[in-house]
This record gives sequence, structure tokens and C-alpha cells, in this order.
Amino acid sequence: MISVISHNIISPIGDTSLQNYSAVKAGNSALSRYEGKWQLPEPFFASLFTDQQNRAIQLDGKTRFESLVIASISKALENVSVDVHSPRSILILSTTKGNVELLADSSHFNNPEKELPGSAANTIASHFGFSTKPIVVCNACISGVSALVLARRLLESKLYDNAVVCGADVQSAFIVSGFQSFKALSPDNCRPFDESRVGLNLGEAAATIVLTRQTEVHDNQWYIISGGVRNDANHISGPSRTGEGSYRALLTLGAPEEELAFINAHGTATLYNDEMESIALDRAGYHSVTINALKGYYGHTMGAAGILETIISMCAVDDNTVIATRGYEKKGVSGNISVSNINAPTDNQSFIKLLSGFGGCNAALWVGRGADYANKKTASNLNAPLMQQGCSKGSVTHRVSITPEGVTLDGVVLSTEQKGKALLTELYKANVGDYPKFYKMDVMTRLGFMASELLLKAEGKERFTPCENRAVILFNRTSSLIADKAHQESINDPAAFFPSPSVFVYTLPNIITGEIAIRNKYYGETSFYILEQYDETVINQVLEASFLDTHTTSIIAGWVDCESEELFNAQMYIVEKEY
Amino acid sequence: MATAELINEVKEHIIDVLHLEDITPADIENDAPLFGDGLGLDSIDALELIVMLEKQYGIRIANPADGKDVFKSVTSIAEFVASHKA
Repeated sequence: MISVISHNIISPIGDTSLQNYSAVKAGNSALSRYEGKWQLPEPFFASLFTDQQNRAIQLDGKTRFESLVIASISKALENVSVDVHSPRSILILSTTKGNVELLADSSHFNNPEKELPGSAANTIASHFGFSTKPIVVCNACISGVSALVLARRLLESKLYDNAVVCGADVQSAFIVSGFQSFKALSPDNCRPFDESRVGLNLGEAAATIVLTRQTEVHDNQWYIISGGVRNDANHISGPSRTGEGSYRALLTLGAPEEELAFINAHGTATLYNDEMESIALDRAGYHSVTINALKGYYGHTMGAAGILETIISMCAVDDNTVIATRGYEKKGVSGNISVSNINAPTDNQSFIKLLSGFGGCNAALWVGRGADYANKKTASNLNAPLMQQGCSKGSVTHRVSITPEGVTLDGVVLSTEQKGKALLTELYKANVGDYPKFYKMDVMTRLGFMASELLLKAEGKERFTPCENRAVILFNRTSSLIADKAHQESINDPAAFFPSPSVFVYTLPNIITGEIAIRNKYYGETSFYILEQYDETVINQVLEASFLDTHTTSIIAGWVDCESEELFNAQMYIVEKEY
Repeated sequence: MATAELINEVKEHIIDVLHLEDITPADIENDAPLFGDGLGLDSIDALELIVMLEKQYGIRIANPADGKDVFKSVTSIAEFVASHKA
């Protein structure tokens, strides 16, 4: 069983999980209006650390982001005996943009190694003396729950014994201007699920959960019972009108409504997200359990959200309380769900954490306290034949390589004329031709998209039939570096400040997995991971563990990395589960 | 009224910012709906057109809902631009 042995939250309203929980229970928030901050032309409403808080966290030789992560992990490790030096312990870092604020400095812009999330993760892992390679989960707004799902699987597969899972993001002109270009920000306190909601608030925080695989059962212990990630296969930024991915992610859990204290939703307070979630929850039959959202206290803390909100939810159940949805007054969503703005009592000992994000991804996690949940056999778990038998291995059925120099498919060199970026367009024209969305994609997404098209062509099966058993799981080193630079350039000059939503959306590398899911109507898992460098062992571990999903029987997987428009490398393959 | 020259200019901007490869201004009908069937544009494209109006013509649309009438067709965009130039 996978147990939570420690946790911490560092946010503008507290330095420990309990301080944070007490502040939330009392209805407090650090959300406030910022004008002229980071020279942004428009004001915004957010939950940010004060200068004093930033100074207290800051470590010599580390960035603000790294210092914050180190502070949270240090506190989480204070009172537990986890040997982080052991080859059986791993660091999993959940972040959407990590050190991206460094790009505003031209010295980093031209030498962006330090900006890369894998580099930050390595710095943090070295600080604590981990002997294993850290994994960065970069799955847009679901990253936090994705990271917990990955950690649970790696421990369940017995690949590791302990996982330190930290989620964090710090805000910057880069992120705020991007969300402003999406017209997604609320000019005042956000109002999740409310009829007058107009958008989200952004927030800063770090949150850490330490997981271990245990055999002894304890009454007050928290356990990760089940978790799943599903795609809408609908749009890279707009949520599904039928709540498709969230609905399917909820179904993977096997969590009966009568056992739940509450469902902690994403509840960003954008018009479309909250409406989508209400439909997904309604479809999944969660009509009477209270749905709450914590964005009215913290704003959207991005990479931290899934972990922070899971911790506050555990503290709430420990306190027999369902936390009020701050900012909510009158129901403004069509789904048949129950939301409340008053703290309420509960005796139930488990909850669901739900998230959704750009790239069409959705994640759900069922977490429970006490012996009843230690070895819970959910209906969905029972469907997974390998759950109790360690990990399975997959076999590669098709393989493609695309570099600026050429293309190899299943060992055969394809005849091409172009080099570099033009090669991708040549491949598109020769092999697809009727999918004009291709031209809207950034170069890394074009690369991954064309690699998947060639693989599926080689596979030769019927295409575009909706399915949930094929996952898309990709890895790289440079995250979304090209899109990051393009977005940074659009905001560098105050006199020519034109952040573009179609550029900003590709600053999330997992968009590539969403594009493949949309094209092929894949409702299964989509995940994106970043490593400091290509590491076949870690990639294979993650893929093996990914077959623990309730549905996944094959994966479009591999490496898709872009250093520049003319320097890229895709090594992708289809892996089929071996029984 | 928007001139033919302005209409053509708007089409070129649309093709450019929305990456409508293989489409020329002549392929876009002046009064055909841009969203839905038409060119198959989506919500990100609508936001991108808001950026285009600000960048090219200095016209700001704060609330994306206000863009709905403006972005009906190329003619409606050009007329909106012309009315702000006047």
C-alpha cells in the first residue's frame, strides 16, 4: 500500500501544512490586486509571496523557484526517516514553468541551460543528495496529481520504495502576460462555480508529499488508493463540453459516493472549466457529495495545485471538515452538483482530488485515511490484472526517428529532400496533407505529431476510432524552450508588448500529447515528462509503471526534443503491453 | 464603409497570424462566417484576432465576448477597423 508519511505547504498564508489549513479554515487568503508589478501594462489579482517571504526562502546560488522547492522539501523531510540517498528513493518534481522567469534576463536567454526544468530538478536533487535521477512532470495544470499518480505507480511496481513529490511554481511577467492574452484572469477575487465568475487568479506556492510503500496498516495513515489521467481528445485549450476526460478520469478511481467526505475539484473559476467539471461530476453520478474548490484562497498555483490541494483536503478530513468554497455564492454551472460556501462537518474518511488542464488532460486521485483504505480493492483496480504482480514490460512494435538530417521508420530510411524544419513540412505534405492545424503547431509539436503519424501509418490499423486504451507518454530535455523564447520576445519590449495566445499555449510541452490525442480521438492517458538528459532506464521505468493504468494496453511513447527550429530529435515508438 | 484595400489587408493579416497556409486572400469570402464552418477557426484564433487588432490597428477589445460581432466575417472586421480610423 502506498502511504503518505509527511507533507508540507509553503504559501503566502503559511509555512507548514497546518498553518495553511488553519488559515484556509478561517477563510483567509493572500489574493490581492497588483498594479505595475513586473512592469506589466495591465493590473492583475494574484496570491504572491511578499518580498520579506521571498528573502526568508532565498538560498545562495539557487533561483527563487529552486529555493522555494528546497524549503518545502526540507520541511517535509524534517520529522521522517526517509533515506533520500538510497537508490530506492526518487524525487518527482511537478512544475509547469519552473525557472522560466530567468529568460527575461538576456544572459540566460542566450544560454538557457539553467532555465530547463530538468536542470532545476537536478540542482534540487543534488542539494538533498538523491542518488537517483529526478523526474519532472510537466502536464500543464494537472501536473501535481499526475506526479502523485506516477509516484504511486513507481512504488506499486516496486521500482522504488520512497518518493518525494514536490509541486511548485513561481509567478512572473511570463506567466501572467500569457494568461492575460488568454483573457482568462479575473480582475478581482475568483468565484469558483459561481454564476458571476469571470476567470481565474494565479498563485505561488510549493507543496510536498512524501510517499512510501508500507506493509503495516495504521488507523490514522493516509493512503493513495487510486488515480488516473485521461484526455478530452477535443481541444488544446478549451475544455470538453461533455467533460469527457474528467468523467473518464473519475471512472478510473472506483470511488463510491457514500464513502467520500467531498470532491475537491479544480474549480479555477473560468466559465468553461467549472461548467465542464460540473458536467463530468454529474455524468459520473456524484450528485450529493459536496464539491469544493480552493482557488478562492490560493489562486491557481499551477504545478503546486494538485499537491497543495490534496494536502489541504487531507487536513480537512483529519479535522472532520468540508472546507467552504471561498468566492462561491450562487450556482452558475449546469451540472447537477452540490457546492457550498460554508465549512461543514463530515465523518467520511476519503476524498477525490480532480484537476484538468491545457492539452485536454484531466487527472483524478482517490485518497483515504485508515485501515479500510490501506488495501482497498476498487472495481477498477481489480480490472488491472498486473496490479499485484509487479511491473509488466511492453514490446516495441514500430519505431521512428526524425532528426534534421532525415527520417527512419522501422529501420528503413525514408527518401526526403528537405533538411531541418522544412523536413517536417515535407513529411506533412507527403503523409497527411489534410490537417491544416499542423501549420498552427510550433516546431516541437510538429515534430512529435509527424512522428506519431508515421508510426500509425506503419501500424496500418484503422484510424480515428475513439479509444481509451492507448496512452501518449512523451519525454524530453528542453521542455518547450522554443515557444518559451518566442513568448518572452513578445513581452520584452514595453512599446511592442503583444503576448500571443497561440504562442503561449505551446509553452506547455504536454500540448504535443494533446494534439496527438485530438487527432486520433484517444481518450486514454496523456503525460509529458522532462529529464535532465536522455535516460533509457528512467524512461522504461515510467513506461512500465504506466501500464498499471486500468485501461492502457499500448503507448505512443518516446523522446521528442527541440533545441532550436533546426536542431531537433524525435525517437518515438509504439509499445504494446505484454501479458 | 471599408474599402476593398482594407478588406484585402485584413485578409492578409488573418492569413498571417492564424497560419492559414495554402490559403490566399481570394479564397476567403468577404461575408462568409469566419468561425464554425467557414475557415474552421477556434477559440484561440479568436483571441489571436484580438491581438492582431491591437497590434496592427491599435484597437483594444478588453472583453472577448465583444469580439463575437466584430469577428463575424472579414467585412465586419474591416468595418470595425474603418469605424475606429474615422
